[in-house]
Amino acid sequence: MGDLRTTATADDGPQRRDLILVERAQAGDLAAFNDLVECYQDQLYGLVARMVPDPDQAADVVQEAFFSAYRNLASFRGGIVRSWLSRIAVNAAMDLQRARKRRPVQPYPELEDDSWQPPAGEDADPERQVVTAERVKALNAALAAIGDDQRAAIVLFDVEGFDYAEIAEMTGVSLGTVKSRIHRGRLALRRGLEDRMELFRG
Amino acid sequence: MPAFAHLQPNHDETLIARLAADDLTGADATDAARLVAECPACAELHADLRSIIAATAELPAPRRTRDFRLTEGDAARLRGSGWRRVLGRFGDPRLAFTRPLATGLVTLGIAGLVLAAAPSFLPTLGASSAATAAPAVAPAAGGAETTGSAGGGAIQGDGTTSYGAESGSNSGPGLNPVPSAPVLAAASPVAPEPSGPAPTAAASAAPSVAASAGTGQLPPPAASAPEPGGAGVGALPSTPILADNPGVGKSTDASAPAPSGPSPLVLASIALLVLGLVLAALSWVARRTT
Repeated sequence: MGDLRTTATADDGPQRRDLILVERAQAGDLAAFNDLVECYQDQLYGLVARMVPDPDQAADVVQEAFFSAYRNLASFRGGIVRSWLSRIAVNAAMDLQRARKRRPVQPYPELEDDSWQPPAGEDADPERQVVTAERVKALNAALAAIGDDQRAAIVLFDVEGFDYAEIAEMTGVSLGTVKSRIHRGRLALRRGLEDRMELFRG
Repeated sequence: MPAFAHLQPNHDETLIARLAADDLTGADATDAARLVAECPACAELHADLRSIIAATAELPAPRRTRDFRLTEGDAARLRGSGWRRVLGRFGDPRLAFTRPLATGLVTLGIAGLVLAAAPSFLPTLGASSAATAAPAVAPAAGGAETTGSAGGGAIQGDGTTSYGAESGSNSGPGLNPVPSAPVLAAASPVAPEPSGPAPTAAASAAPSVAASAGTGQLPPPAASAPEPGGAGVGALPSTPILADNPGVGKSTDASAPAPSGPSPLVLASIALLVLGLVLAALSWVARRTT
C-alpha cells in the first residue's frame, strides 16, 4: 500500500496526523483508530444529530458510521480523512432517513434536551442569552420540520462548511440539486420561522 | 408561485434565495438585485434569509451522549470473516466497474433468453410446428394420446434433423436411411412395440431402433425394448417426415446422440444472467456496508 501521507499538504497538520493514524489503524493498531474517533466523534455527532434530530438515533448512526469506517479501512486510498468519515456518517444518516420514510414512525421529537442549548458565557447578558436560546430552539425545530434532503444539504453547507462539490459527492446528487436543496431548504426554514423571525432580525 | 403572501406573484423567491447565497451572476444577479431594491417584500425575504444563514452557521454543536471508541471486542467482530473482506474489496472504488459490468451481463443474458425463446412466440412458426406435428403423430400410433402427440411435435422440431442425419451417415446404400416408425414396425423384427414411454426416452430410443432396423442388428436395450404402454408415441411421430425426406437423413452421423435439453444459447444466457445478478448483488451489498 502506498504512503497515504503523500496526499497531505505540508501545512495541513490535522490531515497529516489523520493519515498517520489511518495508516497505523490499517496495520491493525486499534488505539490509532480510536485516536481518530476521539478527534472526530464530536464533529460527526454534531453533523448527524442535526440531520437526524433524535439524540438516540443520532448516536446509533454515529456508532455505526465508525464501525463502518473501521470495517472499510482497507478501502481508504487517501484524501481528506474528515471528508471520508463525514461521507460515511452522512450515508448512514441517509439510510436511517430512508428507513423512516419506508416505515413511518413518530416525527422527530421537540428538541427540549438541554444539550441543544448554546453554552452560556459567564459575562453574557441574561436577556441576550434567553433570546439566543429561543432562537436556537426555534431554528432547530424549523430544521427538524423541513425535508431530510434539504436539512442534510443545509447542515453540510451552512453548519459544517462543506462546499457544493463535496456535498454533491457525499450525497450522490448533482451540484445543481445540492444548490436547489439548499435554496429551497432555506425558504422552507423561513416559512417555518415566519412567526418567530423577530428573534433573528436585529 | 411564491409561498409568501406578501410577495408579488411575478417575483421569484428562489431567485432571491440564490442572491442571498451569493450564487447569482450576470443578468440573474442584476434582476435579483433590482427586485430587492424595488420590492419591500423581496428585500425583507432577502434580509430574513441572510439572518437565517447566519443563525444556522452559529448553531451550537449538540453534545454527544456516548463515547464512540471501539473496544477490542468490537474490533474483533468488525474485522470479521473472509467473506466480509471479500465484500469489502467489491466496495473498493477501483472495482467500481463491476456495477456497469453486472448490468451489461444481465442485459446480455436477458437478450439471449429472449432470442432463444423468440421462435416459439412467432405465430407462423408455432402454426407450422403444430401442422407438422399432427401428421407425424397420426401414423405412429393409432391410439396416441394428446399428451404424446404434443411431445412428439416438440421433439420433432429438434429431433427430426439429427435423427434423420444419424441413419444417413452410418447406413450404407443397403441400409434404410429412413427410420420411419410405421415402416419400422412393419419391417423390423426387433421393434414391434409401437408405443413407448415418455417423450424424452422415446426421442433417444427411436434413432437406435431405426439404425438397427436397417442393419438387422438388435438395438441397445433401451431402444429395442421401450416400455409398453404408449410412450413411443413421443418419438415415433417424427420419423414419417424423415421418410419423406431421405436426403436429410444422408448427411449426418447415426451414432451422434439426439440433442435434448436447452440449447447452448439458453445455457450461455442463463450463465450470463446469473453471473450479472451475482456481481450486482455483491456490489450492492459492498456499497451498503461501505
